[in-house]
Amino acid sequence: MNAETRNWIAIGDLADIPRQGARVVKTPAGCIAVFRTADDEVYAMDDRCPHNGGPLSNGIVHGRSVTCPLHNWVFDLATGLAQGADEGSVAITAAKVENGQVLLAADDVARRSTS
Amino acid sequence: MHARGLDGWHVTVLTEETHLPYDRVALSKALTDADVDLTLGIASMWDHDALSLQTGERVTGIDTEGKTVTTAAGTVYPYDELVVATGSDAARLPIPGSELTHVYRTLEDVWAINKAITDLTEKLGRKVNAVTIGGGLLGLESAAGTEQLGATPVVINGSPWLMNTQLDEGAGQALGRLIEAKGFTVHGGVFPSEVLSDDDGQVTGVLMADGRIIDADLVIVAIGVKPRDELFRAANGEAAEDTAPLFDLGPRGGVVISDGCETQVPGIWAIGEVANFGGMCLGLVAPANTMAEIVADRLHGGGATFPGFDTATKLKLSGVDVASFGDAFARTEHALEIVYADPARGVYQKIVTTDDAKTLLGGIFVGDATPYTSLRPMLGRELAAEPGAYLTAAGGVAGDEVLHTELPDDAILCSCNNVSAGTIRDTVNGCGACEGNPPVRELGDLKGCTRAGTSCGSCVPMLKKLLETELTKSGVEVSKALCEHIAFSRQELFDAIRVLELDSFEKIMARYGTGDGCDICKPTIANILASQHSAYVLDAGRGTLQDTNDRALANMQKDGTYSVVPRIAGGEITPQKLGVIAAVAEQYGLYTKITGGQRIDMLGIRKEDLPAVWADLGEVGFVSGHAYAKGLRTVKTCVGSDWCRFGTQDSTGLGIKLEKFMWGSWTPAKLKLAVSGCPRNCAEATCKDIGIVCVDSGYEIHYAGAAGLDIKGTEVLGIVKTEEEVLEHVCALTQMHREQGHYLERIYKWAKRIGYEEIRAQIMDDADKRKAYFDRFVFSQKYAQVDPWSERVSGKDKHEFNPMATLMAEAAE
Repeated sequence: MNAETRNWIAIGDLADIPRQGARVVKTPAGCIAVFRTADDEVYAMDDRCPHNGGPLSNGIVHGRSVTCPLHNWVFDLATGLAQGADEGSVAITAAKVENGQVLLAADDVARRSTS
Repeated sequence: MHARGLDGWHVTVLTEETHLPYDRVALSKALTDADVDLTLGIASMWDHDALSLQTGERVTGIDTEGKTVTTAAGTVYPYDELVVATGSDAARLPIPGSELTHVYRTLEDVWAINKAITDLTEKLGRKVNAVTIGGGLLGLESAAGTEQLGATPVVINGSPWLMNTQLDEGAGQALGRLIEAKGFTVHGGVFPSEVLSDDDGQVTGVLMADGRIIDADLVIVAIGVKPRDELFRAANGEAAEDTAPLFDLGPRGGVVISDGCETQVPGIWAIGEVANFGGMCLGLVAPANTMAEIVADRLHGGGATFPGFDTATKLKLSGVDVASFGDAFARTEHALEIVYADPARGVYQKIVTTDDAKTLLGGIFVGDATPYTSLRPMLGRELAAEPGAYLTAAGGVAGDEVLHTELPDDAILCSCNNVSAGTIRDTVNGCGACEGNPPVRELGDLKGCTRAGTSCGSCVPMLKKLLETELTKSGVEVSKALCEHIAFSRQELFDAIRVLELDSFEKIMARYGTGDGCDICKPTIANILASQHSAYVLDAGRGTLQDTNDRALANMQKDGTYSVVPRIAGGEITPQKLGVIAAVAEQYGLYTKITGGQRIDMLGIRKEDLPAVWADLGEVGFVSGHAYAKGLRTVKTCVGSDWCRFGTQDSTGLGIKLEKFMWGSWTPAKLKLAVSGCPRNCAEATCKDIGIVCVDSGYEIHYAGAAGLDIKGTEVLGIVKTEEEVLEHVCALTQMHREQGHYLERIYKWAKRIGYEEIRAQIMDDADKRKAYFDRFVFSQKYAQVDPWSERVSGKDKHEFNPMATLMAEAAE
């Protein structure tokens, strides 16, 4: 799909997410964790660690990574890939900020519901 | 194969089981918890283009000429290389009634056992008599599982002592005594002859060869396994009669393999329990993994050979440590056995050496397996000290240092992934495993680079020691830095923050750190700030520094829900408060449980419901029990002199006084206290971080106990005469630990590092120092005792608990 023609869903204000923190967006196919880094980038991925299902939105955000609260797996927010010695990945949802609003890519959200 | 690269390969895995491959070694977990997930690796690894997994596909035939396999469904899969890893089946007993017994082999087997025990317990209305036939590794594991499920465990063992494949008679007897003390009944040296049942087919007992009948409601047979070699047998059967069989089979089954793990038919490999090497098949995971590595290496053009079975075993049975390795039975000619046996304590330790007492050949440990981890890599090597020095139960003191510094290069450190000490040294010194990369300096990098310590993790402490030894040797200063962002240790940072009165994460990072911080330095700094200024840990944007438990003020459980524990000082509770706990638990469908610290845990709360739960609890005066905190948890008490005929002081009153004075304080690690009213010690004060034992003449102050990963009795700090003195000494000790302890370092570890003499000198003998610590503690408490739950009930940090948005299905379309 061409990036310019993507549909985006507004989920709230950037200010609703604490810096170096996360919030959850509920969807019929499970929660999406939306992260905000120290320099105000936002990233979104499934709120479920592939290791034992830990809710990543509750992890500590550092740099462009998050550490799972259950067993300390670390994931790159941009790629969803596990870092270090662990292997695995989390499905990401494209996210961006426009005029202070946080937007999620509709096709990514929809693909989660149907897959 | 995946690790070595899949270029040019397509790997198909066929399994008759309907599950993803799972960790059979951990089957006992599934016995006691039917929901546990034992899947090996992660499901998404099968998404790889060159890998495919077919579950529920049982292979029924191999065509060695046409190079295909056929499945029960009739599908034909061609192959270039075929690896057979069919494992084995549980052996059944050839006696009447055998069809009524369970076996212990697959997930379905353990689920069936779990269900049978649950159903029988309900039907019979009493404890179920669960008889396990077989006193080997699997039998004992199964019996331990039935005990955890609430059944009465009985073991029938044909051989005279338990685990006779791994243990000699002395060790087997010691193990028998230890588990009998835990409520197991063991019938040894006798065989069963019939499983008895009533008219409905319900098992009633086991008739023994000697005529005795042993009561049984459920019988599990765990007498061993037989290799699943039927595919090879079938292939042999099809060959013309006058030709030699295609595959050599062992006398007791299993297909014979070469040291390259290949069968007689080129291109057909066999690994694991179905593979017969050197005349035996073995049901242990480490050799099976080694064989898999060898086949993968050979398929990639390598020449790896199987070194023979590593029969080393270490396990914990109902809390009893058992380990055996090498030539445990001293079968080597002239071998010496150095044995320490203490039947009273239930400890048996044995080391087997060559006749000059120098070279290590094997060993057995029951009851205390401390030396196993260090000794095992030394197998076949010269010991640095006399063998007796390694028998820790006999007071042997051969330290880990001796072992690690001279661990030879080819000694295997990580047996799961077959990594030698030499590989670790090469990696640390930058000339081996990762060519062209800079030398490794961090444990995490070392694990990532060599894969050592990434499976079972039992070698990680040795790995760390070896890393530090190597770094020190090469002149690199072993860093005490907190993490890559902070060059100071926690204590240095604690002092600096106090002296400069820094009060925010940003100020501290600007002065002493680099970058934004990480999951190590952020919670550590938040904890220091909390325990110094008692500026609350979550205030001023500090929330994102914290672990989820500290942020949500509750304990995350494995399914992502939370538990809360309200404070119930001294275990004293009113009927009204009990009623509210009951009502809240019913409303939210919570599981409730009395904790070991005399409180009530409420589990299974969804995060967004936490504030509502706290609101209900808060109405009758409950405040947070800080069960999530690196801070004061609970002060456990017995009833004391008000009621008890042995009580010497008011232990309940003193416990409540301590808890009310100290709650809300943040410490480097959790802090658990107890007050016992007399030396009979019903509150178990002598294994707590700080414990008080009341005596006629006053109060004995104990500290530095542990009853977790480590078990350690307390040290005595001293005796004081009044409750006020207890309070001052205890708070001063807490403050000293707070200022000096590493993050997550409990008092017993800190005290060992600092020295008991030093602590006694500062807290007992130096009144000025003690007073100064106490005053600093009291100062920080001024700000600490605000109930964090009630603040959240009134709307603080709402974002932490509520979803940001809820998307319906149509929103995305």
